[in-house]
Amino acid sequence: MKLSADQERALEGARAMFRERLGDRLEDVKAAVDRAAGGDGERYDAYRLAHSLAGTTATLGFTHLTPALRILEETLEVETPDWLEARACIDRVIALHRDPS
Amino acid sequence: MAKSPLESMSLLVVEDDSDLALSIAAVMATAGIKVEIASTFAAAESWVGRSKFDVALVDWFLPDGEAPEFIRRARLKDETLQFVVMTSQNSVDRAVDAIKAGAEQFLIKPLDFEALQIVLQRMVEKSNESRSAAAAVEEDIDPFGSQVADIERSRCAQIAAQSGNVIISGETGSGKGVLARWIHVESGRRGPFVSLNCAGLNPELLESELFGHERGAFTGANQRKQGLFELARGGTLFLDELGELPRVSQAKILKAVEEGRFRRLGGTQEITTDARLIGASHADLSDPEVLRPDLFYRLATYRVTIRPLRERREAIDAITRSIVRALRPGTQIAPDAMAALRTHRWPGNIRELRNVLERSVSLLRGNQLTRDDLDMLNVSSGSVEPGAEFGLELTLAEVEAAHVARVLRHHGGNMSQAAKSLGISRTTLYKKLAQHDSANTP
Repeated sequence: MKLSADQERALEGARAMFRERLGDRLEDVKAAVDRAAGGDGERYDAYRLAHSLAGTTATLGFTHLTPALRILEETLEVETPDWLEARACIDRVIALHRDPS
Repeated sequence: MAKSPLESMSLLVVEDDSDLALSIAAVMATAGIKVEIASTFAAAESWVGRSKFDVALVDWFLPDGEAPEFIRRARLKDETLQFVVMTSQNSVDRAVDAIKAGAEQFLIKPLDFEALQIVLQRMVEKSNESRSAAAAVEEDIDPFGSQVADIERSRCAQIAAQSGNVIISGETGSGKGVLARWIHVESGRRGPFVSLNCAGLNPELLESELFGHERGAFTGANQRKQGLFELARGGTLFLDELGELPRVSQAKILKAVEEGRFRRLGGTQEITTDARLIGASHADLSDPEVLRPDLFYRLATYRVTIRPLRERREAIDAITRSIVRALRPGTQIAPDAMAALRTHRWPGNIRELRNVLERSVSLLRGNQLTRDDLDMLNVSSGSVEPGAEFGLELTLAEVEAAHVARVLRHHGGNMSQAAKSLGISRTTLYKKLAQHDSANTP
């Protein structure tokens, strides 16, 4: 069952809203990684933010960011992550977001 | 243009990613679906408790838990709610866990909106079909089931004609709700029949359901809601599982019943009600530990006890026929099928019988239901009662005569073999046959 033209427009509006918020959400993930790496936050919180954002980028069509977010999610999934790798991952995602080319 | 089934649907999106939740809501609301969002399982439970949804679309993984536990809890509050679980892991274990918990569908992220819409449309169609079938069956079941029960029918008809409150006791599945509806219909009351299952509701939720609330009465009360006492004006309010009423709510209900008026939560205006109350429970409501005595006596103007189905086997034939007629008119029931149904103990009573018939009739190809068509797989094990094929109305001598005749038929009239099977001598068998003959001679 195809989406109606009205639904397509609604989806496009939702994507536009997400695009506006995406920069902030990526910064939230970076901050959570930094806090966890520095011992001021929980690894699990950073993991959840990365996990959630990976799923939403995939669903809303921002698929150029999804693979890198999935790598970040996997990096953060283990009890003692490689924090250097995690920081490098989120920086890569942010760079991709700023310059998709 | 025909209205899409989606336009009558209500959906609860349980997802902590607000961007994803809002996107789903935007797309589905444009199709006419009424959508609410909960970002935690606790919030979702609260929604389920106070509003009616057709489907909950549930993310596997939220900050306060995982989908299967939520589904189990939510099902206690609304057994008709259907669940679709979303997860980013294509895991068989997760799918099995979700389905075991009661999920109907399992979707893998990234979410495909078109696929989601198809799933929702199918679910709402299925839900509409089963609701209308269930409603038809509920309305068509004769709660008494046989001529033997005419005395009960006559007494209940007398009760229906009065205006006093009623308490119905009986085992789970024995048809208390069906009888309550029957009493309402027979009463000729013009108002509606509304019902509430009191089990598992906390006092706040229960009182909001019964008395309604004003806008802003509590967090989440975004609009005024009429309570069931108000909706049942001129009709009947059926409270099932009355023994589960929280103590604190019992006092408030007593006041409303005694005075015939109440206030909505957060309201100042008094609202009157003349709804007749019918309460039902499998528990002993006269036990002061279960129901406060003043409320019990206020409700127990009339008391009806429904015997378990195993104690009124004579009703099984008529009840079976009425259920099958409602499920698929014109379907015949073969004698071997009826005999098989008569021999079970039916610990789940009419509900269990109805479930067996629904499953069996839905798979039936012809127009006759035989023993082989009966889907008895899920009937409680060990449920066959020795001698259950004989009705309770038979005397011991009649049972003996019937059994002797049956054994003789089984052995093709061979007296020696029949006597051996019965554990008696041939001489004794002849004597018994002579006794039975003389008993049957006018």
